[in-house]
Amino acid sequence: MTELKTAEEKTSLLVQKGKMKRMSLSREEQEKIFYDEIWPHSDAVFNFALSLVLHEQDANDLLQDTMMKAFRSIASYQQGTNAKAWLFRICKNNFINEYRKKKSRPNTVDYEDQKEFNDSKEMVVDLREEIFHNLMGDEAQAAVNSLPVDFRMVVLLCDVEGFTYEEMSKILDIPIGTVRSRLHRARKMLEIKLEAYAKNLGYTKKS
Amino acid sequence: MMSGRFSHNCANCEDKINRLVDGNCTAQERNLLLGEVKGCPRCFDQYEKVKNLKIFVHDKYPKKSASPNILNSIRDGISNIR
Repeated sequence: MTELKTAEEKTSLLVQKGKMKRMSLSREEQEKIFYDEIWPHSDAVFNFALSLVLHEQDANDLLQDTMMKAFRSIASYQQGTNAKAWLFRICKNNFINEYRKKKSRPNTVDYEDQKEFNDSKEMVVDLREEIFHNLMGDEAQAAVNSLPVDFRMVVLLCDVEGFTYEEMSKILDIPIGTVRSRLHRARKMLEIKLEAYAKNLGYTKKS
Repeated sequence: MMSGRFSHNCANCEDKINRLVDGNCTAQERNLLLGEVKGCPRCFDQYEKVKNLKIFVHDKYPKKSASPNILNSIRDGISNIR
């Protein structure tokens, strides 16, 4: 709930400074904004949730929690702004606060291990060519889902959902430089994983 | 911002390649970056790889819809919020 309290506090501050008119909304108005601007992103949030928790029932729970929190904090949403990014931020915070902490060991990345992994890569296939057309959704899903969650998030937000670096920075609460470096590392990891799939399927072009 | 003239360094180009592929640059920067990348076979190779990878993930990563049951359940939950 921390992030929602913060959003509410920010709204109050802006109202006090006269930079923003607090929305005093009737129940009907709240529902109209919610169902017009927020609700259409339900499927995108469900997909994002599924890619975070990797389990359909947990994704349903995360979607439900996200939408309920979004409705409760609808007064802090500025109409006509980026509703999808706003909703994804709630989903990400919900995931970190409610789901990730349930794990006994947080899903973090050892950057040194990752560097060793990257350095040991052996180029066996040519990813410039039609290899990708021979790989299927299963391989894409398996490769992306096998990334550590911090890296998975940036790939999904950027390549699947089409968010800009600035939007991703706001959703993930990290500097743009970190977005860029995570994306770069994530793509390096994906390259290696997909090359391995291509190799196993016999699509090696050169050695 | 980038100047019109610069010396190319492949090691410094990877972030530029990502920005180029992701469209996270101005039109002016895009022209400069594209010119730099196209001028180096190694970087152009990497640019093509990253571009293909992005298209692959975008097109092939499965997109599912939330089930009508869960959506109905959320609607019910919202209608009960006072």
